[in-house]
Amino acid sequence: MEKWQDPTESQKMEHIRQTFQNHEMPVESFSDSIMKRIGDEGMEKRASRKGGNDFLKKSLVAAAAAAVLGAGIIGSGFISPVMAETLKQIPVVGSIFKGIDDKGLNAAEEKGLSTAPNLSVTHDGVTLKVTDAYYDGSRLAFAIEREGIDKDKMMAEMFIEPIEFDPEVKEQQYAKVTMNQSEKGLLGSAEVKLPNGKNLESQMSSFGDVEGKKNAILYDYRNLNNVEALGNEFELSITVPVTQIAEPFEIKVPVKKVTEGIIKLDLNQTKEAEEFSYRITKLELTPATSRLQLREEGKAPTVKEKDGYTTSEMFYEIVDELGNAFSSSGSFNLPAIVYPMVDKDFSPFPQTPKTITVKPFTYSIDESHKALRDEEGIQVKHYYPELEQTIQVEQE
Amino acid sequence: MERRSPGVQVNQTIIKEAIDQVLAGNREAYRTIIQTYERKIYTYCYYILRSHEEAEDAVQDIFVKVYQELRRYEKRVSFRAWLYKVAYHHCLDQVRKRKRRNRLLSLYKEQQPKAYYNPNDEEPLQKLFMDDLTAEESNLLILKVVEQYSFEEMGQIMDCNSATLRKKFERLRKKLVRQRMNEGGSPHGEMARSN
Repeated sequence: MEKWQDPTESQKMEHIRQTFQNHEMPVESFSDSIMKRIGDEGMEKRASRKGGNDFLKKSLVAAAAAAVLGAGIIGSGFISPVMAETLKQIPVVGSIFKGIDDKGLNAAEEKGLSTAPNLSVTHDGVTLKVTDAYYDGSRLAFAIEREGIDKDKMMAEMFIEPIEFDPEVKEQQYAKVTMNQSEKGLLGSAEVKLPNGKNLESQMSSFGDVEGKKNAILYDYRNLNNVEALGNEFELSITVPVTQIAEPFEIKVPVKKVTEGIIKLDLNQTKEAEEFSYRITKLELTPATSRLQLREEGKAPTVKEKDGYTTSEMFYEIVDELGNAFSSSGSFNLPAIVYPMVDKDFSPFPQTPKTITVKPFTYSIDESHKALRDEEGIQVKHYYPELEQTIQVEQE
Repeated sequence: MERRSPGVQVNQTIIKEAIDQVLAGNREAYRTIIQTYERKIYTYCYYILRSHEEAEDAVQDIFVKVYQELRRYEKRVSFRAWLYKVAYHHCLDQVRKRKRRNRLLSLYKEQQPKAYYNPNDEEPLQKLFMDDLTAEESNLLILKVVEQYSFEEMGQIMDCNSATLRKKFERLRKKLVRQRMNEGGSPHGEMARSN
């Protein structure tokens, strides 16, 4: 700032600063009335920023993940970057999958790989219809449309209660998730049952409103675990709770497994540097997702980027020979640990790659689990070239 | 890059996190943003609009607008500067609307210079802002002296040329040096947009 020419002038300027900073508002805060107006008016639907969490207004990580990793991470950066893709600005007509800017589901819809079950159930004046479904053995996604209530919002607000750790309880605990019941006709987390009566298991599941399309919601399950024995065609039983309607909505949805354009490789290749090593065991590429499984061993590498920051757990980026690159999600919990089994999902590659290079990287995390960002606000990644390894993908 | 005015240390990490949370659907996180900046923005609006009532309405309108447009916020500029940009253009609109609406009222105001502000607030500095400076000059003074923005940053906020702003501010400085705070001046506020 400029030098003021005389003490009187600089005093005057300092006085202006002080007065301005000490200026009182007539009320303690306007936040209540502003929040109320926001509730009434909502956020602009236009999505213009790539990489933002635009696709899903809200996204809920499955309770299973919460149980394993602790409820604290749910609000902070655990939403898969894969889910966080922008929506096309054109209004959606017809298929919900077509309008979502999820390249995997777009491609599936375009290639005719998704199905349109159009099965519906009505309770208490509200009808839910499954309009789109996709299943490839690694990913399951379905969209539901609502009739009888017309509003943008489709997803109920979810309260997640933290799990109290009890050393006596040996089996896996699930966080208790309840819905805010103050508004009628909002949907909660779906229960998906397989023909064998078991619940569908997945590494990552989420659901959320489809922006740009009213009365539409998408449920998405990735890195499915217990579907291998099911064959290519079967019926799912989907049960969805709806606020202020006691009876749950149960819809039977037949699915047909996509078999074209699927690559499944069982691998056993290891890379080691200093005290850390990881062995890639599986790579799956489908039109709608990519999946990498590996096993970590040893001690995670640390790097000092800045005072007050420590190194996150290992994340993985996969890059094809054309330079298409996708990063895995993960948690910012500290201390960073090495996982005996890692199962990550990524965006699908536009074409089947010839090779895929796996690039491990870490973020720098502060005490409050926030990642270090550069001047442009982008999270700083640290790569480990000595740990990179390339997978040969056979062309069909 | 963020430079803080003394006494108002805002944790930028918290703000960035809150923005991310709001964009991810956690509307409640926006409360953090409001509470961090509302006093600044209220005060700014008050000195530009010279009315408590109008400032109260303006600060609420501005935060609603910022929420609705949050997706357009690009992290290359500081969030605070972006907030000021929205506030500046909002107040500019208000002043213009008022000017069209209230030509007669401003004639009245010439005879009743205190009609636009609370007499309880009357102290030399209030009088300086209320009576001696135009709205545009108040705006320059707040952004430059209180918030200590560079002319380039101010140019981004006001969508105008930084060299022009530098000249205008130099004139304002001379005016302030010349002027004694308790002397009267033109009561008419008008914001100008220069390119």
